[in-house]
Amino acid sequence: MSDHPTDEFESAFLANRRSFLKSAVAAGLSGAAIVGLSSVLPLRAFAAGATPTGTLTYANAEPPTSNYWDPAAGFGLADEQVASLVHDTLIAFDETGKMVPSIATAWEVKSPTLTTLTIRTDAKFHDGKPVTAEDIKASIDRLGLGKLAQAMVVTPGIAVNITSPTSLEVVSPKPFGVVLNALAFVKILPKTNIDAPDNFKKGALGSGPYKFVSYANNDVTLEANPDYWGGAPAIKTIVFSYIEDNQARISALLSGQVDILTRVSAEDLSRVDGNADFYVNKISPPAQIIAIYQHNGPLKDLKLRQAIAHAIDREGIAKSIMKGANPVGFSSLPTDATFYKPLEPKFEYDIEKAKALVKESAYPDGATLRMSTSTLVPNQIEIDQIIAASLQQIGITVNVERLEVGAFRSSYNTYDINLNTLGVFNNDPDFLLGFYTGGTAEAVFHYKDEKYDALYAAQRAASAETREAAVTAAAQYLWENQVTLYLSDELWHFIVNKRVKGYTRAPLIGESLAVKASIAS
Amino acid sequence: MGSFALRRLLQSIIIVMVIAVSVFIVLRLSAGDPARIRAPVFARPDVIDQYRRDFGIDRPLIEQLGNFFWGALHGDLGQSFRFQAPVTGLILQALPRTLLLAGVALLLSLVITIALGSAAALRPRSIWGWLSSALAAFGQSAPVFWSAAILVLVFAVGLRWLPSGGFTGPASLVLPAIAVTLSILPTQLRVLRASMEAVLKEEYIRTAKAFGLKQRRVTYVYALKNACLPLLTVIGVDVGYLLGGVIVAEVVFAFPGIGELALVALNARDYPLIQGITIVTASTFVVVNLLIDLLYGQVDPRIRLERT
Repeated sequence: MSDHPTDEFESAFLANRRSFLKSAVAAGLSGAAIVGLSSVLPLRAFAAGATPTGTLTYANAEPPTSNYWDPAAGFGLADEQVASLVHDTLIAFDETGKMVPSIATAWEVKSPTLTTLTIRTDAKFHDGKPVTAEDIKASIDRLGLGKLAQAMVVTPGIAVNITSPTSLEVVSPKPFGVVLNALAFVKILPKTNIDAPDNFKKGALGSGPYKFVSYANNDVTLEANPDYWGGAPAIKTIVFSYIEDNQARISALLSGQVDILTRVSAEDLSRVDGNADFYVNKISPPAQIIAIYQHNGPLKDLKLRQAIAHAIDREGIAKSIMKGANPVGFSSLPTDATFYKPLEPKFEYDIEKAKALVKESAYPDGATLRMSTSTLVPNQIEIDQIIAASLQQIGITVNVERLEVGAFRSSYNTYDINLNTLGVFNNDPDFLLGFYTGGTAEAVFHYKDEKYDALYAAQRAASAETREAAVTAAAQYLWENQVTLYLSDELWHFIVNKRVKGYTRAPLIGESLAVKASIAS
Repeated sequence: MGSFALRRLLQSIIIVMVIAVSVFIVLRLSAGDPARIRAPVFARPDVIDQYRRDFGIDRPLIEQLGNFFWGALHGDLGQSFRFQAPVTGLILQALPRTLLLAGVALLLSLVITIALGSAAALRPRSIWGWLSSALAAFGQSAPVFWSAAILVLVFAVGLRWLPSGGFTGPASLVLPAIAVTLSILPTQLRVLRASMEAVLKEEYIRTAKAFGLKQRRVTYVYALKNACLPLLTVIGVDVGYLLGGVIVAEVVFAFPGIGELALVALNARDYPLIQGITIVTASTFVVVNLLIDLLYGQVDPRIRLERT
């Protein structure tokens, strides 16, 4: 087993791209112009003139969240995998997290509320109709109305003005500094489907490199789009297979029935350790394992929360139970998030400091907390037992109730503390920081803090030059106040069969770069 | 006979209705909110409320119950919360695969039971007697998840002869069918062997032998007919087990049948889908048992006379 084998095709592609960009910079071109010119080497231009062949099968632990193929309505892993290949976005990400052209061939952020884009004219939906500015406008405008689940990736009121058939303006009522991240996430859909949402029940219809074929027998099947504007992908068929049982998933991988196992645990990694037939891809969207606190009970007390941070040996848990698969950072952001930096204080493991903080809290004689546990997070029950035992040492009694996953997800916010995972769509921390504000924060952990709301709004509105400082200020506030307990990162380890060549991932939930992979017969 | 069948049919309908109402009520009393489970963890309260409205679970319970029965009477089991697709379609997609798996497993177990059970009853001290006892003991002591895992490790991961899971064709049926067969075989084998041993001692068997009929004909025609009556009862119970109990095998083999669908529905608190699966499996169970009751009369006319 090895990490990220380098593929010759991939290297050549990246080298060409880098040399092109260097030349453009040397020629004194502006950033926007570089982006525009670089569209001659777009991310998904991978056609080698060959006919797509072979089948690439993924094994997921979760099925798509529904048979309703509106990408703006769901957030599940399988939903995003399908959406990332069936649909295009205006902007795309490469494997380093850098933005590259897609449907938009050039863009320029004119002001904090205005971005202009030029769009390509050769993109077609899978039913043969061209992708038009009207489709793009419909795809973005509806999120600005705020009613769909994915509306939180944009700012309310965001809308598109069509200035010509190939140029658009994206405008927002308030400064929206992460507009490009949002445009790299929102999928472009046919306006006809948006106007008649029942069409989403028929299947996913987009303009991406793969066409939706079916969802049957727990498998979502996609087929290469030979007419894709970037050229036909190398692999003919991609299957996202849902296999509920962990043992069945690993058996399917070892028997060669599936090629890629997604989001595996440390135990699964050990099953292929030393096996030359597999390698591991660790490129993840920034994700973390956190203990969600309810701020309407004892844990509204700052000193108590800080005491808990000192009482739990996070590095010890990551090393022993997680077997070193997940790094531990010192921030409210995962270590692979853009703008991550270790913050002070460290909240290092120190029982004496923890006891002293309990004495300073409103609960000097200790407190009793209710914790719910389940199997939602890898090794959740073992981790929760350690947390309970650790807190017992500082006088905090934790009554752990074990719940079935459905009951856990329905009632987690009625318990003082419980573990959960939180992932981000791309490597920008905006979405993660948004978790602690507005209706979401009140619903998830009874938290409302105007000071933080202001910090969050400031990072959202910040320009590229000031954004790092604004993000760090918001992260620092969350960290100092220990609004939740950050336990560790949650790296997404994918085990890949070596017959899959050139497989790579962008730091996203989806599989947009699977188009670059090929498969040996 | 006709009135007996009609009476049993009416009983069956009442049983299924009682089960449907019970499941409807129990689901709504149990922990777990379908809207919260369906929504992402970070969903705003208004998004969750919208899901509740979409699912119709914001309406009074009696209205939900009325809608459910009205739809069921018209063949509409509602829309799945989880899949946002008609429940009937989802069940019709999964049920044939489960019936196929159950049917193959039942057929396989019956063939083994009749062949081995009869041979063991005839010659208890032979290799057949030993094999019958060993197989029954092994099947009874090996849980499905264990035997399934061993089968996968040996035949899928090790030898790569058969797929480890999924449903891609007849080859996908082999390992799950063997695992399920192993779980139902012991009871069938023990019951038939004991019953056959008792029947073979009866006078009419001795008479048949005295008339010079061949042992094979005596055993598999005259003795088996009476010996299989208790086996029919076991099969009736097995059908219930197979419809619900293959869940473990379906999960371990990632077999997309009704068991796995039920598990997904339960995890998602998908009320319409759970209700639909319950009604369909309960109906299948009572219909099969009704058929077995009727079959008793065909196999042994004395039972038919007693009922009339």
